[in-house]
Amino acid sequence: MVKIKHIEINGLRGIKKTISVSLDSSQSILIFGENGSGKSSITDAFEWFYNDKVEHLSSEEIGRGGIEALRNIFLQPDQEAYAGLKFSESKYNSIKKLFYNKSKLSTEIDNSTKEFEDYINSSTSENLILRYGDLLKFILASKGDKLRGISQIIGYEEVQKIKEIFKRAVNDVKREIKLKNFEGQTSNRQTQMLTQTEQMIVDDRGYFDAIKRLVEPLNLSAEIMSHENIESVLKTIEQPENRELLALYLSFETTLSKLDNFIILVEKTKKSYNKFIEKYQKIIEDSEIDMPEILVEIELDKILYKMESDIVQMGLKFEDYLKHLNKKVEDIRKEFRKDAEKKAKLGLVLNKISEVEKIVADEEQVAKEVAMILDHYKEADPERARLHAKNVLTNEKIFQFLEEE
Amino acid sequence: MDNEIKSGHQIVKEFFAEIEKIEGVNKNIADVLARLYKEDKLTDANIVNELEKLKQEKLRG
Repeated sequence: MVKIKHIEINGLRGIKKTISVSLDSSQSILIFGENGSGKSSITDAFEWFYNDKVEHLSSEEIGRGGIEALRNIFLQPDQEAYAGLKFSESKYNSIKKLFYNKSKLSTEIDNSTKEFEDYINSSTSENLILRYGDLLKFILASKGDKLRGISQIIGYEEVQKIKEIFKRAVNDVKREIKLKNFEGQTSNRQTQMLTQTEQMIVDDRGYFDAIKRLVEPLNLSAEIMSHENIESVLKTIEQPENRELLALYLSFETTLSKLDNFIILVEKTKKSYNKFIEKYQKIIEDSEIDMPEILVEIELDKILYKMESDIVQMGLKFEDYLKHLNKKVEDIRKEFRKDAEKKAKLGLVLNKISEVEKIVADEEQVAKEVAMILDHYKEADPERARLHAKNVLTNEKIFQFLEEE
Repeated sequence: MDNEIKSGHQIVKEFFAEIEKIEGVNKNIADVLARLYKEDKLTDANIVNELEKLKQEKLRG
């Protein structure tokens, strides 16, 4: 830190002849004296040296920041007034002169180095002089004025100024938010997001999490931690090649959901089939009918016909199939005899129910079923297909009736 | 704690030099404020105008 070690004053204020004061002390220095003895002249000299003005001398009558009143009145016009300072670092030593140049009051400083200029500039940002009058004024001032006063002394004014600017800017922004109904817009957006993400979003974090869940099925391996991330994800999705991939993923998703539905349907069908079997067994067991042999033979024919058709459908010959099993047609007929009896019995029962309850298959449905059979089994006999379809559909109707019963 | 006594000017200068390091401060806004201060154009009207510009830029993406 630079310290003032010595001051020499000549012709300033009450000091006509040169005075020289040593300030080379490690402690505080107190200058005391009677009124008019020149104490203020020393402080005025200091103030002028640093600030190029003397605040308490400034008035409308005395121009140029009080400098007009700074020269000792007994000085001759050709005599120079000056204040010379010596510092702890001699590079700052300098003398500031106040003199008349062609009847115009001028000042001049003999140290023109950059270092000295910087020193003076940084010194002017500090308040070097505190006068009794200023102190009294401060004590009597209001709280706000005191704050302003202190701010001025410690150079806090600039901080205050910036603070005020920020405060006004914040108020302006707040007013704009109110005027443009941003709150309303925010609530609208929230409703919109609630519908699209099925989640109440009130902050960025919630928004990012919701978006993360939304894009998860797309396997984009993108991080969603900021609005910029979301923008880049949107851009990725918008790219044509990704659009195809996206469509693929979406169709995959749809297929999966359809498959889920299909599984449910299969389960349902399985259940109703089990019910059907239960009823079927019950009907067979409950009915006491003497079975005509011819009907059992017809059923056996049907079973064999179905078997043969299935084998041919697979591209094989029925004879080869029998050879492979090492069986004859008669063996097969024997094996399936019980099933045929059951079927014949069921047929009779169902015929009776159909007759009594007048349950007959719908002709239109029969025609559709026949068309389907013929389409599937190209070699099938249309009349037999019609009989088969009529039987199946009538039976379905009877079971439906029994179920409702 | 920093024991050095700072002038108001120093405090403000340091504030604008470190404004973007403050937690929760948007970097773009910090840059705008520091620039306005540096250019000696820091007024409430200029701040509001610059914020509006930033908003528009953000909306345009």
